[in-house]
Amino acid sequence: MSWAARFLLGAATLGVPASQAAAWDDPVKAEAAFYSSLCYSAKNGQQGERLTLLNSYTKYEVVYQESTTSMSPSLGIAEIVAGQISFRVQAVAGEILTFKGTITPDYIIGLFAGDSSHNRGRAEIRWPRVSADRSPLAACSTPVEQEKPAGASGLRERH
Amino acid sequence: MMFRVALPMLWVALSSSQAMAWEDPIKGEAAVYSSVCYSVQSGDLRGERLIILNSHAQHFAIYQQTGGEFGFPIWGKAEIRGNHFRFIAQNRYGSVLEFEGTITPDYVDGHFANESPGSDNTARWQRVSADSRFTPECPAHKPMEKR
Repeated sequence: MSWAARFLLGAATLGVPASQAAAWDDPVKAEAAFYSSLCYSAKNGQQGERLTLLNSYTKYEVVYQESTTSMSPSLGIAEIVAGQISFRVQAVAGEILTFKGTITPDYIIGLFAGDSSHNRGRAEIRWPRVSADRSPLAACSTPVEQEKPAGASGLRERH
Repeated sequence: MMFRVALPMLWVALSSSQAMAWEDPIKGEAAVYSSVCYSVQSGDLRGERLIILNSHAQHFAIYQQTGGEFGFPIWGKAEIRGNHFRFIAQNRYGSVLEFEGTITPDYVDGHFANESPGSDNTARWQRVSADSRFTPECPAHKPMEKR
């Protein structure tokens, strides 16, 4: 039996309408997907952010990690509809972060809602998809905005 | 004489390469270990999933149970020393889940502490590809796991 047939059978048994199951939007098509801007700098160590999407078949759980908080995970639920992704997580400091953007099999582009310090002055946040097997991290090629502590304005420093 | 020199050198080389291979079974960004299967009879997902995130100075374990479908994950710091593996996580009800066992590039095997008497506190999860999405059918007798 094909996976699609299995899923529809499973969804029907679980009480999920088949139409809803068929509409399940899955740009990731994997057990888990890793979108990451992590890089390594000799001066500052690991820098950047990583978003892990866990495929739970009718939904995605999201794990958000950032180097400025020692990669401590923040967990939430991601909604992915028609190539758009949104999620809410509670940051390590307690702040609720809401992210909205675009997801493709290759990248996520978006911003945290409001005037979130987690945007760090970036006009857009871009996380490329990376392989789970990637090792080691690439060297940080430019002084990335992520190296600034949360709250610092990258724009101000560039001008 | 040549053998006397070459053999110990070969042994050291093999030992050190094996030791290096055991230093970090994860190696990459992350590893997914799973016992999740799909019950054709009931349409349920059963089993558990463990994702280990390599954060380079630290590993984190993301642990997910199923009860028909995936539950919300919990996380904790993981320790990997050689092939010894341990993580402690707190579930949504505040109770602490402590797991200790063996980790290899192919599986995680061990037991949960603080399980209720008589319950099966052992677990074994096979390494699965993060990039695929194949869920095997459950054996007919596989019971639901609750922690």
